Amino acid sequence: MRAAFLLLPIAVCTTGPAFAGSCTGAEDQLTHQQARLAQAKGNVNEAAELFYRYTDIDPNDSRGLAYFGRFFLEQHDYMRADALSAAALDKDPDDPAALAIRGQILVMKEQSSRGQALLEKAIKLDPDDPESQFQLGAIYDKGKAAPQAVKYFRKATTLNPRDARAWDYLALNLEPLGDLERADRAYRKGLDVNQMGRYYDAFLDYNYGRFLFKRNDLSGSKRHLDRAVELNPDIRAVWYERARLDLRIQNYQQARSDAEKALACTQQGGIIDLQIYTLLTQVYARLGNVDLATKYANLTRETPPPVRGEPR
Amino acid sequence: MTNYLDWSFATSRVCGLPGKRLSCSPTLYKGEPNILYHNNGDGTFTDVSETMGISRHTGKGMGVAIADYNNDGWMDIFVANDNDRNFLFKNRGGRGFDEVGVESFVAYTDNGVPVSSMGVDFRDWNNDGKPSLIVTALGGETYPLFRNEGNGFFSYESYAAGIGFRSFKMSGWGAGIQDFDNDGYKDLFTANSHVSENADLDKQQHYRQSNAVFRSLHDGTFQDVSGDAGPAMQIRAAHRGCAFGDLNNDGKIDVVISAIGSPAELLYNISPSANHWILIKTIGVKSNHDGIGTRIKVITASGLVNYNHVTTAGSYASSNDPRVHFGLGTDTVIKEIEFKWPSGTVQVLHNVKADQILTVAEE
Repeated sequence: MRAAFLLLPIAVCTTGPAFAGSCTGAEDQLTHQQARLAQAKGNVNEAAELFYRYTDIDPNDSRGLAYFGRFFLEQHDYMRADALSAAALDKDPDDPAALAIRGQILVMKEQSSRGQALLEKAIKLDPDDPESQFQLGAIYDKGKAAPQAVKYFRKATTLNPRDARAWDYLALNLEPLGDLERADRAYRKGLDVNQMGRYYDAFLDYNYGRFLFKRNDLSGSKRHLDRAVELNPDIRAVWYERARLDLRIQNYQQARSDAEKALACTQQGGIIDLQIYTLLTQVYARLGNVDLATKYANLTRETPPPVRGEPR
Repeated sequence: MTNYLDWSFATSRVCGLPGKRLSCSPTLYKGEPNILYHNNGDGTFTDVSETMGISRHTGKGMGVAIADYNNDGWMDIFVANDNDRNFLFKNRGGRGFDEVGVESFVAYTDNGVPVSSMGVDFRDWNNDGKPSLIVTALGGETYPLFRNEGNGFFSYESYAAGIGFRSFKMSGWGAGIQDFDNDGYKDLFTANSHVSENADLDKQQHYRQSNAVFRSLHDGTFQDVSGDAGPAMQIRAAHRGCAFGDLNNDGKIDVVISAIGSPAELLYNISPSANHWILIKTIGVKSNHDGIGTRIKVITASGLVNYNHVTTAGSYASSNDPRVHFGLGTDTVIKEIEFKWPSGTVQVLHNVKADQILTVAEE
């Protein structure tokens, strides 16, 4: 599963917060650094206070606006992030930080080609920014262009080995290329550094559990899917995946329990009802419960498969 | 006979982007029912699709294969449907068919969604006497491999059998479960190509692809040996159908492959194997003339047990050699060959020499 932050819709903002003041010097740089430090430490209120203070001191600093925009993005305050990223780029169209955050926002607003162009420019100007590398990789990941995605995620992990998300995405894109050993290593490196904070990835265990399932490491898969269920109990996909594993290891009672929980989940996480019905048909058939097996077989038959409108 | 979907120039859709027209997904069209013709035995056929329960199921049929999956003496039918649930028509003792794909767990992959099922073969690939399935699909889907458990259920084993990751990048059409090295264990073959001729506009896809052969490792798993299978296996083309048979009667299974826009390929099997073999031609007397549907069990002198059945069906848009091939490993003598004819007759031969084409008439 791809992390949710790339999938969330974002509202378009026409007005942004007011900025006042005009003073530059060592004080503003210090404030800026303090704000970023507080952000990195997860001290949200302190970081917000410092960012506000900084933009009051120097409202024309594109870099400050860009970092403030990223701060809001991480707080899921998309309207302010949108406004600040636009303001940052307006102040300096050649600022890599402004290009990176604005590119990311535009991609989220489904203006992918414009967003991609800005991110490519950001990387050209500052190839050592791991976030730009990550975001550009995410665009290729979305477009199922695994070789290109791998290139950017690999760079992102090199520049910032603490970014668990980047390791996860790197692994996910190495999988379809058949580079299984490197994918395995990437997952494990991601898990090693997966700490709460900016680079935390709630679905790393889920993705690694699925990977190990496909590699027939069923006990390893179970360990990680158990953890995925603990971490994301409201997401259907984790229960569904563990139910599939339960079925494979012939733990049918647990498969029943997990599949029923998946069916009850409101957050689908990419798993549609048809998949659960198919699974429950198997589970109840294996348990010898003819009535429920028949019920879910009928639901499976009655539920049309997803319409793929896209060309292939 | 499988039917696909309701397409006409009037209903044709346009898909893709300007300058990048692509095939539309079949989900945009209505499916069509399949047809079952009964051979009247006088050179004519009768359409029995409705009375036998075939036509009430509408899919998008691409491949069809026939085998007695539940060992009741009646041939069953598997239909590979493109982006729709596959059908397994269970023969109700010759009185009709029940569609049990969902209940048998072959309608969808283990992920509960359809794939672009294309070609299919329905034979015993793990020497347990139960016909199992391989289905080809498009890139990004993997080729489903369904193992017949013998209890009415199939289990999805693409990854467990080692072809999941390997087939992920392949797009396949024709398929065969055949013993290419005569070691007594059937291997897998797929004829590959993407569906869209401009697929290469997407850097991840290739229209012209080389074919694949997966060698049995004798434990229910397979290894992709395509790269070591000779230059003919490296030819990239828009492959579609493939038919299997021993074209030069040397005891090794050869392959004929059709390709769009390029000549058909004839792959002579020149494997340097010293393993032994037998090729069996059946002649029905009480059963149908060709003995179609006869189940054959071979036990070699060393105890290797192998199963197959008489059918020309399978793969994609192709028809196979009706003779039944068995690899025998190092054995030069077959201890026992058992025939279960469609008439119900059971016939057993003892101490049969290997390396011959044997014609057997129903007693």
